[in-house]
Amino acid sequence: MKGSFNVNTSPSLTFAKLNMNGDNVGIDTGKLNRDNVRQVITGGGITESDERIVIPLPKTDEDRIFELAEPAEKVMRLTEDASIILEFCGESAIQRVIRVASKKTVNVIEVTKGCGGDQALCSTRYILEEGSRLKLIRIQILDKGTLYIDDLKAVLEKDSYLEVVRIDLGSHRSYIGSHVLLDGKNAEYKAHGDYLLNGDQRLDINMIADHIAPDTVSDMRYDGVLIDSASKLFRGTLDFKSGCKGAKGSENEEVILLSEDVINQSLPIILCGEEDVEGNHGASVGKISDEIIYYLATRGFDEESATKLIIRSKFNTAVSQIYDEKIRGDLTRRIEEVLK
Amino acid sequence: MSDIILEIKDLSTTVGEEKTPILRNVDLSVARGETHIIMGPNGAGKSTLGFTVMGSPVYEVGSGKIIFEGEDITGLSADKRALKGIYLSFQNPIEVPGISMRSFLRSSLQQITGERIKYSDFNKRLEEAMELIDMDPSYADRDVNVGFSGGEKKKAEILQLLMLRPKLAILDETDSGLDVDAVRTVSKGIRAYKDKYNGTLIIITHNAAILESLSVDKTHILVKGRIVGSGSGDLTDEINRKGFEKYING
Ligand SMILES: Nc1ncnc2c1ncn2[C@@H]1O[C@H](COP(=O)(O)OP(=O)(O)OP(=O)(O)O)[C@@H](O)[C@H]1O
Ligand SMILES: [Mg+2]
Repeated sequence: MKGSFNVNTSPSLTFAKLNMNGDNVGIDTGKLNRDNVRQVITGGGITESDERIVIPLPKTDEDRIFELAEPAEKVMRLTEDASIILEFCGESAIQRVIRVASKKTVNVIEVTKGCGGDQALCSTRYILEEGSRLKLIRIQILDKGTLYIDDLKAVLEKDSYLEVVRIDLGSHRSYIGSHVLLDGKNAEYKAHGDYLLNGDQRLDINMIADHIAPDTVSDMRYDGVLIDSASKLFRGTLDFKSGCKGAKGSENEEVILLSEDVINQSLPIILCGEEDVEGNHGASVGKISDEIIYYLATRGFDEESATKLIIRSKFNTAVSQIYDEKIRGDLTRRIEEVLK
Repeated sequence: MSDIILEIKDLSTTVGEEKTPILRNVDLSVARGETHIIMGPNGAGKSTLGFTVMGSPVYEVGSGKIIFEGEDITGLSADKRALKGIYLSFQNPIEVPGISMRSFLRSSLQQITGERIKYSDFNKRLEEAMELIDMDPSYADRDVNVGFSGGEKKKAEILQLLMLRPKLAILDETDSGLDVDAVRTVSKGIRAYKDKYNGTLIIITHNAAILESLSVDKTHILVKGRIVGSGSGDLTDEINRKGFEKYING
């Protein structure tokens, strides 16, 4: 049952002609087996339920894929820090709903890795109840042959705060979609992604922040390094819905290109259905500055080691936030492998 | 025979595609352990001289040679010169976000010596150097020069000098922008480099204060890309009293 799906579509169709509005991907949903993915959760304060959660968004092709895949669905409610390992061994899809209990502050680390299999699909819905705070660190170190679709949706209730730090190193082709609904007054969302891609790896990003309620704040940034003939497409949409008075949003990108053959595409969009808002977009794309390379040279670094030093330093900030020593070690090793 | 560490012969440099000349037929000879001062008006080419000795790709050598420890290094890249033991303290140090002073210095030291240095040994050395120049230990864990004040950046350059212990150090206006106390601690650092590691110094400066506690072997006056006068350390005092007028019009 191989189907063709248009994933990572951005809410604005204006750019259809540029062929950047979503990407067509073939998925064999028949091959997906929910038993091929293992989820190990450590941490306290988890209660499970079978409550159905419907997020008020139009159905996407990702939703259709997951319907066909029939993954297990469980709702977990967290009141304490948790660490989640998702291991895809063989074709698989997993769908999860995670609630962060009202007024709680919770840290979650999720590591997505693989042991064979060429399709790994993960759908997650995060519901941040009123006044809750979630810092979510997501690390993806799947095998280099895997197709990865990551579909994250989050609803932020009043006064809640979501911070997402993500590092993408693995997989052959990744579709990273995240759609965050700033649904309650004063809700705040901050996202910082880092990627390091080499060979013919391809990363397709679709980040959307819907400012629905007044005084909501979003700050999305994606930084990364492209090597060899790697390619990246970033779609970032700030959608200021009518009624979100006083909302502020920004999206930024910093891309370092280390070869002539890389493909770097960006599609930042700001949609304004409300007047009283502030939306910003910034991007910096290019090589590492000659000034820095020379300064490092005077300190004994040839161009190659200077470049590696800079790349390592890019990831340092993200890596240093990972409190689990083993995961931090794994990640550092993966970065070093690419830099070898 | 004196032990000449650096010899610059008839050096001329240009910048940019139009090949704008900057240095013109510069000769300079520095013996091991000596301290030379380079003074000159703004825009004379002092920094250019430092950058050229340190192998900056921005400046093109049109003619002449740079000989270091008897070897012609005119064509060597900056990193190779660093490995040979040349150091440049930048007039405007560069910020390197994402990497701490501590790990930067350790990597740098390992690059230059080609040897692994144990964390404990390294940290001890770093602590001592920081103490010598009155630098708060917390700076070791801040990103290289990021958010440092002008004076702090200069101090950080001296910290690197003390850690890397090069054979020849070119200090480009390391004293500019320092308060009175900082000038004192920085010159203490420079003196320690000179005394402990038999350091050789080329100091580019507009100011005599930093020289008070250092014995100067030679002073050179650079004007419009040329060395128009050289003399003993006393020349520095004269310049400070009378300015460059005599050299500019002469
Ligand atoms: N990259 C460059 N591009 C163009 N011109 C340059 C460049 N670097 C230096 N110059 C020019 O060369 C001349 C010498 O500059 P340099 O920085 O060496 O002067 P300096 O003696 O160090 O001056 P200061 O005392 O102000 O630091 C100046 O006229 C400067 O404008
Ligand atoms: Mg200068």
